[in-house]
Amino acid sequence: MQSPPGDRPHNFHEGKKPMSAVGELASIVSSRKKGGAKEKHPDNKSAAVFMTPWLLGFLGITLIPMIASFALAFTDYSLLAPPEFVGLENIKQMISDTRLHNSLVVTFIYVFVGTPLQLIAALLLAVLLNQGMKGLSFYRSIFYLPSLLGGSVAIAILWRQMFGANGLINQVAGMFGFTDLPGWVSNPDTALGTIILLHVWTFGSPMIIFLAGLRQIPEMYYEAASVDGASTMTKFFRITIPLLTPIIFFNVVLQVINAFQSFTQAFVVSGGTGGPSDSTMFYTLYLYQKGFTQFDMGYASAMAWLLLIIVAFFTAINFFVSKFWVFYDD
Amino acid sequence: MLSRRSTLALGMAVPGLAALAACGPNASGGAGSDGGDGGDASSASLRLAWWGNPTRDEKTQQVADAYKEVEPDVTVNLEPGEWSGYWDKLATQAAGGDFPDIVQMDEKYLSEYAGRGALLDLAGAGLSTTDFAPGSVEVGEVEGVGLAAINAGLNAFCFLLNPAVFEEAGVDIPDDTTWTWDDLLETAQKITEGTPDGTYGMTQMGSVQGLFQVFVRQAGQDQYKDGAAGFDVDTATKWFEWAKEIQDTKAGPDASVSVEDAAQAMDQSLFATGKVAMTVAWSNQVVAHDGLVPDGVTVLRPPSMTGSAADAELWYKASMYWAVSAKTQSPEAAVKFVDFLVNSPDAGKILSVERGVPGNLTVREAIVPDLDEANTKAVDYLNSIEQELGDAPEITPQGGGQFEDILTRACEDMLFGKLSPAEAGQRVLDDLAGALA
Repeated sequence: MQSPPGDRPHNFHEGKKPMSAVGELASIVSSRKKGGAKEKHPDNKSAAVFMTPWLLGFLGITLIPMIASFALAFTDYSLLAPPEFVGLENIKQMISDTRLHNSLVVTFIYVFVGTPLQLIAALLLAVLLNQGMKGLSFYRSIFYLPSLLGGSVAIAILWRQMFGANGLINQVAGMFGFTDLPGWVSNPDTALGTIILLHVWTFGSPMIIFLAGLRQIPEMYYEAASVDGASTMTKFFRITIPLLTPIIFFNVVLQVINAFQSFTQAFVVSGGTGGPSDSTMFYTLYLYQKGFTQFDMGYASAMAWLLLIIVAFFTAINFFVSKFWVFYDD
Repeated sequence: MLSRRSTLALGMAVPGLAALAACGPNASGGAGSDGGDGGDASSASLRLAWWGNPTRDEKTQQVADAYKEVEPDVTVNLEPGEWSGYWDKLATQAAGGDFPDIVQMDEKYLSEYAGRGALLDLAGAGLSTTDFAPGSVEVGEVEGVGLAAINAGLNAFCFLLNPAVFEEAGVDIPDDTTWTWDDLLETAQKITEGTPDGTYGMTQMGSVQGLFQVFVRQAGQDQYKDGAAGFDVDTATKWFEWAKEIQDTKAGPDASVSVEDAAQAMDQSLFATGKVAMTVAWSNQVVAHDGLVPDGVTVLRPPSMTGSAADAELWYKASMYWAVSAKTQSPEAAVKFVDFLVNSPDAGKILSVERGVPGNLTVREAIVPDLDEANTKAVDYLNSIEQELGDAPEITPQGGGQFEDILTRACEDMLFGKLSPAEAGQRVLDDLAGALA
């Protein structure tokens, strides 16, 4: 059988007398220069040109600020005056800061309740859409729409109005006889729930990815299962889910990382306060308050690095545990 | 002949560069200062930032237009905003080196910004303050800086009543020279009972810092003393017990409704929509509130503990200040504009008493005859309490700007049942001590 193309360099010296290794290399290079399509060098150049915008962005917007943030985490920086080095003060303060612990609790609840709910909704809808129907692309776009708008300030403001004491939800409920319902966003027991609901509503991205994953499952498995007399439920749990596990894993990792960084929804729905009673004080929101309203940017930088460590930790756990439940075809 | 590869590269580079340019600080936001020619007072572009309400925004726009006639070469770019986002924005702008040239400043944050070198010494820059009422300039002085900000108007704390709701409930307007805190609760209760569901006698005042200060002053203490908290845990506890009673006796709405109300814009609030009969405000907000209710507002003193107005322990506060950025490109032009704002009778006539009664006596005299009914109410109120004032309070020290937040959180936790009034009182003290540290 022919070896795959590109596997071996074109042997110019077949049948000619043997040369030393360097000689061979020199003649290959020179023959390439003469006749071959000059791929290597121009490729490098245009690669560098294409990469420059991204590289500049990465350095300027990501890498250098990250290094600066790390340095600032050990300082007392009030934004208006130059930073002063204070060593581990910020870290000591973080250990005893009850509001920080509370914000961690709030964020963990949001991530570990909201993400599974969102992914379940995404999966169910993807399975539904995968049946194939008239107007499939229309439904797909419609279900994706909230995810486009959901992270925006406008939707969050609307959400706050809808779930207010006299908002849309309560008015509709009133029509069914449920009068005197509390304001959902202004009650500390339910405020976080409204934000979780908003998060679940924006299931569009994972749904599209699940849909793509579902398309990859060969029909023949389902056909074989039908022949064997499997019910829809069995097919779902024994074929679909196991073959989807790589996609589920991907979505879990991505959504957990995103959820830890949520800010806009909490900021807008609570009006920037994290209230009522700190019930919607997300970690990122507390970080923002510390840095920008309390003039303590050094502490906020330390908090940012703690968030990085937390996210990295959970991602690592995700990867480690994936060995036990993710099934790769190959 | 451009190969396909080079066309592709070019096609991506051009919009890429355009996008980079648009992302820069001088983007089409309209707020960039394109003048930037040093300290030249005759031609500059100034950015003016303030918080306020629609009435104030309109008047400020008119002042900027009037200034254009005085100094045609100076452009004033306006940056209006709301109180609740203003300080976040300002801090961010300060960090980004994007501080507006002239900012409206509040007493709560004066030490924060001035103490960290963000504000210009106005007296040193030549601002004239000779016509100002005694005591009204000193409130803007910060140690180590000089005159960090100039008083933009005087005000005092007051109660605003909506007579229409009182009528609806069939309750008389109380006599503000003799009423006590308990009388206030009783009156509010009667109104809640006498009006349909959803209308209350008063707002939940437990999280209002101004009224809290009135309360502690009447107890013989004050908000701050020597740079630390000036009140003790007993007084704070009594305050929260009173706030709890507002909720328990249904004189005011429950915690959820109050929380939502606090987040609303002024014209969406319970008071503006006629759902509450009494609210509290600083006297310069009389004008804005007056326009919101159909029959205008009635302005009353806060209650006293003893039932005598002389013991109300009120004080004149600089409602807000004007300050100039220490890093402005055009300090002379900026100071000249501030001079126009506070010392010119023309500006005074436009701004009127919406930000407070002018500290400059000449300006004050010029505008008093032209005041409309709403504004006269505010000025009359200030005049009427002049003889009853207590001692002037200390300026808020660095870190004290968080007190409003601290008080609101403790009050909310208490109202939602998470803390007892005593615990809330203790927490307020602890949090304040932590913030001032």
